[in-house]
Amino acid sequence: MTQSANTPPELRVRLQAFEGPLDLLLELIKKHEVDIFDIPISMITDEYLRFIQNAESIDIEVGGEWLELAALLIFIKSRMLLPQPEVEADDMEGEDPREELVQRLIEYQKYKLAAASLDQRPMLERDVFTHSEKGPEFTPMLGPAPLQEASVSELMEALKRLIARTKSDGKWVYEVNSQKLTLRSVILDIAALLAKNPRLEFEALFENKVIDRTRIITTFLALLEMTRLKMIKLFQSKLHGDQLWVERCVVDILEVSQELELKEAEV
Amino acid sequence: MIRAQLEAVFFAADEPLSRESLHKIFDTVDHEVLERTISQMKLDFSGSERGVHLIEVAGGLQLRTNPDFKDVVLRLFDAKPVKLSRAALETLAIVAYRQPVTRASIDEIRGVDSAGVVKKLSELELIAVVGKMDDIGRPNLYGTTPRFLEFFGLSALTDLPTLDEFNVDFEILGDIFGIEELAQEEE
Repeated sequence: MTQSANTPPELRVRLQAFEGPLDLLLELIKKHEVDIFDIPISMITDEYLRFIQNAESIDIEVGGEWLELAALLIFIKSRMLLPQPEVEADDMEGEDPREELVQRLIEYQKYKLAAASLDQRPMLERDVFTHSEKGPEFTPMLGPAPLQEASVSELMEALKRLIARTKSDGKWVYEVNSQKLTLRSVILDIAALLAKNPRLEFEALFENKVIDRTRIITTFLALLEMTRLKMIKLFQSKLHGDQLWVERCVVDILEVSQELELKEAEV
Repeated sequence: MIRAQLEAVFFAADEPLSRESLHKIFDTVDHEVLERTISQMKLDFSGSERGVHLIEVAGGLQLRTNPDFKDVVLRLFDAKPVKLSRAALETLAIVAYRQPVTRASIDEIRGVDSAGVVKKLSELELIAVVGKMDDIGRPNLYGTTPRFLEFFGLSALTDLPTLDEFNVDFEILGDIFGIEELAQEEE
């Protein structure tokens, strides 16, 4: 859905308020307080079409299902205008062109009410909690996830933040006798940490380590390599601003990393 | 004595305990005594005075916090409460009442494509594929899972109100179409 800048906010909100065309139709029926079994089809059709045109005029893509219902409404409207064939009074069933639509609306309305009643139940990890090993933090959620997979640039940012913090704490080591770090040794270090703890804050990889340029670059390469081999995933937390997380994707991460074929290049 | 032991077991369990597993754990205890103790405990662990309730859920028993105190419990966690979208709840309701049901039927009732919602609900393990329809393309049939019962604090699907309790106002049922049969749930 594209939103142009001059969309009136109330309309933008209204568009997202509907689950679909049936939802909108029910809303119109409710709004005008009309009898669902005797829908003034022409008025409701006009309202519905106006709504869609509004949406289109502000560049909102109207999906096929909305147009489908528009076509159905227009079809019913035209059928209603045709003279009804003479029928016996007690043989009225199935004669009203609106009937099928009404049945659909009623059925949909039932499920909407059923959904609302589900929503009112004490929901696990929203209203009620149990004693469990894992807190709700690790349960998957609908909607925007608290963690999003991080990109290389977010990894760079995290490294820059770490360097800045290390320097301001006076812990930055200017290379006097640079450590001899290999990619393999750093990967093994990271794997050992993740073997104990499936998800770590990025900063935990540097705890109790001498932080200098070599360490930063080797760790960067190690994380890239491990991500490429699908041993780990990097996540950016949306809950605490700029927190980068490292999560292992394989259970036996230590074994996997010990069997790696790496070109031993010193940095 | 048994009561205290039960309390310890309920606390230590990380999922609802079925009667079967309780009878196994307390195999020396007379069934009737055990049942009586459980009923008594359910009474004790209920009401607004208690922070923890013992409830029947997903065919078992589980200690759960009193929903009245959700706000204070949430402060313990660094997570936002789980939120199901309206689309997700609608789809769940359809699956719960119509199961086993195909995605095509869900789409038809909702009047919109439900592929994304069905995928999300499957990922949350609230619904699952329970079979395949004997039809062209053998489409998946979806049903709710035990996790669904746990999630909504239901002991069984029969705990849900019947669908005809959600009738639109049928007072005004015009004789226009003779849709009276709609008022009864379609079997």
